[in-house]
Amino acid sequence: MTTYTKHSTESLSEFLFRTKLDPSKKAYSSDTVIVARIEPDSTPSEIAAMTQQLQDRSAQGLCYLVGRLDQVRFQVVRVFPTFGGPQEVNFDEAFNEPIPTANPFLA
Amino acid sequence: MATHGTRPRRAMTPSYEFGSVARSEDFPVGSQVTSSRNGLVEATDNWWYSPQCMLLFADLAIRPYAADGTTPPGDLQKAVDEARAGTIFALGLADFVGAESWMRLVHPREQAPDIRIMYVDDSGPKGSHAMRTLRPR
Repeated sequence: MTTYTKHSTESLSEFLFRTKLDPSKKAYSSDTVIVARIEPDSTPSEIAAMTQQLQDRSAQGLCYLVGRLDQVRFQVVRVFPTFGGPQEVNFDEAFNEPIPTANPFLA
Repeated sequence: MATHGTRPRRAMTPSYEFGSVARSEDFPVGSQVTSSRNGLVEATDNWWYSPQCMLLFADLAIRPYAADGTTPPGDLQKAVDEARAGTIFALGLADFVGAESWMRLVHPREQAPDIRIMYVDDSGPKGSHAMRTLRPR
């Protein structure tokens, strides 16, 4: 988990590469996903362009961004190794259904 | 024991690609997940929660500060914000695969990752049901 704050001075792609996706500095297992919470406003085209920027820098890993649309709606997009999504998440809908309580690991 | 709720199941290959689905080296349902550095399974290793529960826990953690009109400590606020972001990812994963997702906050002694997230794949015969993780193709 990482957070790209409103106070960050570098670009989002530079931030992700420096902190999480630089293969010379970081090594994660194959089932590790980098999830970044994005505070500043971002357009879909900016995020899509970031995938190309990360590919050009030979980044390594699996990275998703989480952004907020309004009080209850969020979007999840994959930005590396390829662009994918968005997948929308609505908190109200999540709580409209029964909350699962059975732990499948103890089945 | 039921392992899925009332959410309607969706095809495993949606019109756009959210992520790939691991097919090997996963954890069969009911297995222990060994994640401690020394290889021992401890009691907390099986404390998995639904994303909805995790959201409720996050709200409970900062509720006293909201009631007092004070600002939570920076470390607590960061932990809550990142737990919520992990929860949103888990809910997105659940919608993508049309199955429940489960998550566990990882103790700092385990170093990484921050959160473990898996989903229940019960699409095949009962003997093939497993908890799976998202992996790159």
